[in-house]
Amino acid sequence: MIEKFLRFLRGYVQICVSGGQLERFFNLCKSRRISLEKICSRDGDRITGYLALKDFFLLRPVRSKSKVHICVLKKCGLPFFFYRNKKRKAFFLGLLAAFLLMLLLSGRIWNIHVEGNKRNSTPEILTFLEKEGITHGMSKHKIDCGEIASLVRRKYQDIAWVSARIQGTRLILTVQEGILTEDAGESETPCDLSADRTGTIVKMITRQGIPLVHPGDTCKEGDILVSGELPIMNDSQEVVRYAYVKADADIWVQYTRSYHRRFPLRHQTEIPTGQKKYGVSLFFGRTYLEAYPSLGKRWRREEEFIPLRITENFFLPIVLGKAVYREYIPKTSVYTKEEAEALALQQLHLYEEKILEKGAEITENNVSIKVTDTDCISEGNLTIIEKSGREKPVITKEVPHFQEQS
Amino acid sequence: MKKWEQWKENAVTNLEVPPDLAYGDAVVTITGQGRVFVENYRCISKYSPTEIVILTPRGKVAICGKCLEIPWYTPDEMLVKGCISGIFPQRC
Repeated sequence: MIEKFLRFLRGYVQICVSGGQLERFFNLCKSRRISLEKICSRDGDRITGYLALKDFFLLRPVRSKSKVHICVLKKCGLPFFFYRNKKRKAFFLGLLAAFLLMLLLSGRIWNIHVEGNKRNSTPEILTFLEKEGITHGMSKHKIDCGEIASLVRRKYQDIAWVSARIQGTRLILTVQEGILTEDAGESETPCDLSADRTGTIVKMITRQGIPLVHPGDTCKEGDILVSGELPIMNDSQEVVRYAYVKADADIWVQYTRSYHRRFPLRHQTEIPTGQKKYGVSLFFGRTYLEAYPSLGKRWRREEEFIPLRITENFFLPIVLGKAVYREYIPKTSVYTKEEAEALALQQLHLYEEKILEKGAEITENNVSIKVTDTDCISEGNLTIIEKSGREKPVITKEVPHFQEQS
Repeated sequence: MKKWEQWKENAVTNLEVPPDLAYGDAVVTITGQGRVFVENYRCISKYSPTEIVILTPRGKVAICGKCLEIPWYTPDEMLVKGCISGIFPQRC
């Protein structure tokens, strides 16, 4: 492929060799390193072959020695193309303009690529860079990679390391995000742990603070479960002062949640007829143009928007929209008992999955499904064990007067 | 002279030197019925659509067939394409 392209660039000719001593002609070409290709015989005494343009001018001594007649059948390649089109000034001007444009545009940044980021999204970083004056299409000479790196590092505290480099017309930002650490001051704010729901304590592991309840106890919403207030006693078992800590514990509370769902057996479904129509839309900045077919009420519209972009992150202010309209017929139908029960069960499973996603455990399920003439009702209770404990600021107490005196 | 040639042949056989390297013999490689690749040739002795005779250091090789073409050739190698019916080496 590359050889073909190079041959096209350099130009080549198809020649026809006849008369004289053809074999001698081949051997002389070989000894002078003239490369003749695609040799085939025509009518017995004539042969045709392809020859590079520069080799063609070396044929004169070969021709006179072998006494053959050479004629050119075809001229191919770029030099001949330029020669044929030498009178087309606009073409050459266009070519020159294209070359100059390429030269001019290659001095600008056309793609800002951000890699290695997970927490900070690429659009967020690009918006920040845009505010700082680093945009697509800006000159490469105006870009200071070191400054960009320090700007990003200053703005995003969780980014541990930034590297900015220019590669061709791309500005590549490589970032490495560090591990987020909690603020030490905030984490040590004294607080109690209070119950966020009413129930029975099932299990309790206290790491810091004084537990006020024990497994088996019942608690109400708002009750303090673990106190962050630690009384410091003296030898006489009198409170000298209070120390305040951040209460820390894992508390599992068992509680009952009622479940009730009801849906009518008669329902409406949409049956697609298979009829489809298409529409297109165009956003240009704030202008919106739309071409859509005239439709009735029973059509659903699905639209897909394709923003036009030149490079990975360089979006043009043009968005193309493609809409598909599908016809449907509304139909009223009634669930059978089995269908209604299956649907109710599916709803219950979805509800249970949501609870389990939070890390809770369902120990009992007393939900029953009833199907009446008009409705399907599922009701009952779920017994759930869930982690509880809400941080509540601790109210600081003053040390009793008599103790201060002592 | 004959003795010297015999001695050389013995040496080549015993030392297991490839004959194309030892005597500069032509190597003719056939691929299917349509391609013949010739190495170590000296010159083209005859060219026609039905027969190509190639001169090698130790004789001639005649390639017979129909619509014979030479897609390319260099001072050392040559490719012949066409409907090949036979290859006949001839010792000088």
